[in-house]
Amino acid sequence: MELSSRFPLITSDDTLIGMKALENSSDDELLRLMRTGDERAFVLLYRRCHAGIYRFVLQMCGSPALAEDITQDVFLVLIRGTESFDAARGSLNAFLYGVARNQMLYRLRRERFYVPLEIEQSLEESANAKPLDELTRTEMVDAVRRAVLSLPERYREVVVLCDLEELSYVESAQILGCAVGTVRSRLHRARALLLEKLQPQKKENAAAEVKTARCFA
Amino acid sequence: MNCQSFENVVVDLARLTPLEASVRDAALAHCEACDNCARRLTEEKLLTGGLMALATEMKAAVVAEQVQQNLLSVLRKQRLAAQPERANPGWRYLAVAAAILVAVALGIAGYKMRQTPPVDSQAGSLPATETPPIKDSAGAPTRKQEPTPMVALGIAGYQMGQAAPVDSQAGSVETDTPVPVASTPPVEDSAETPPREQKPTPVVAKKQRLRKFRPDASAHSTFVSVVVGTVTDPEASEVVSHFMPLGDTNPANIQEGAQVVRVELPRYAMARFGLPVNMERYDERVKADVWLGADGLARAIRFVQ
Repeated sequence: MELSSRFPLITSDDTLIGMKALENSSDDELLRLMRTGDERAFVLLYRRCHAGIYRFVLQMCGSPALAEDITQDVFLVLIRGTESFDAARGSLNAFLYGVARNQMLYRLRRERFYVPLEIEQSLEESANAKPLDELTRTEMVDAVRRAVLSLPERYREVVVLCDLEELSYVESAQILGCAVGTVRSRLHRARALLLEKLQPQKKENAAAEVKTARCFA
Repeated sequence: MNCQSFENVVVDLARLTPLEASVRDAALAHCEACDNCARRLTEEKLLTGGLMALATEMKAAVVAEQVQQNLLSVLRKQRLAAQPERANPGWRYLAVAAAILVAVALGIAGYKMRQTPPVDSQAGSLPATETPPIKDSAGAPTRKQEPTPMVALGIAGYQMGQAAPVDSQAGSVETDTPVPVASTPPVEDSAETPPREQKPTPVVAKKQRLRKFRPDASAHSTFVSVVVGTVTDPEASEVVSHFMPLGDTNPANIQEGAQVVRVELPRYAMARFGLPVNMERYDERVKADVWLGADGLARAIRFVQ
């Protein structure tokens, strides 16, 4: 019944039994079955992978509608087989993340003239109001979200993958198509940028202290 | 550990990434000694907490159900789009046409194979008991045939002789008979006269020509029935002529493995070798032994009475 409520197109008892039998199958096996037209395999695969991809895209672009579109496109690619998945090169999850990343970067570059200004303004207002350690939880989460969204793409994606999706450096490197050391260095730099964005007041105060010191010197 | 080394590990330390115990202890010891690094670690931990809070909140974000329904409908459409190709009537018609063509081809091939059995395989598969006994002119068996290995050529000739009457005119032995008698020019004066120098025609080729003959021959047609068997020494009751060479036969060409095949020929064939022929018994058949070389070519012939 739970499956029927989540997946209204899957209703019969036989289908439910079949889905339970398939739940222990690997991603590759489910993909093979899905390509033969097995809906149960597709539903299970979707259940396993869609949430992470959706969150990844949502945290990268900040738009739920765009994240849904891209998530749908990612699974359309899987259904239509327009991009071949090679199990030897990585997991299916990493492949789907990679497809989502490519789709998202394409869309963001196409729509880059319309996105960031409002976010930057709101972020600065929010961050200027209170330092990180004084923010309430909701405000802190909102500030962090905006700070993440304001990062350059190359830093944003490592923060999203490593810190928000909690993927390992190796998995992130597979998705991004770069070396593990690159992921580590980008993450380090990204966190430094986040701290800068979340503590502008402190930075200004530090700068004022330095200025004052210089004046007196 | 100095501040530079601490900076290299502070992110992993704040993210609770597994580190070597010695590195971790050294970093924490450095934090106790260095206020800047301790503050740096605190900031990183706060940032990690903020990111974890964001991640926790984002876990509640779900894709609209419409997305999965759209995807399932696409999957179904794709599956349905693939099915009509299998159920396409055009394919069905093509399949039926192909099946008919294959059946016709198989029928033709089977008919041809039945009419022209492969010589080699027949020789190996035909049991020796199928070999009919050699009969004299009255039809009584003269001697028992031993189940010796048969010459493939002779077996084919036997089958031809059973199934294919020759409807050619008298005197056209060279196209009617399965033995290379045909290739031998008629001997006009005597049996001792050597035949004209001519290469013996392969008997197989003549048999292929015989296959074209039909069994519904007219009353005037002459049957050439070839009775096959490995002939041993002729019995005393038979009167035989000398072996008359065919073509450029010489004793050196008759190698081991040569066999003698008994055939029946129209009596007028004797005239071609210069033997006297009773014209009143012109249409009767006469037996002859054909000496086949190891290569299957007829080397000599003798007539039997």
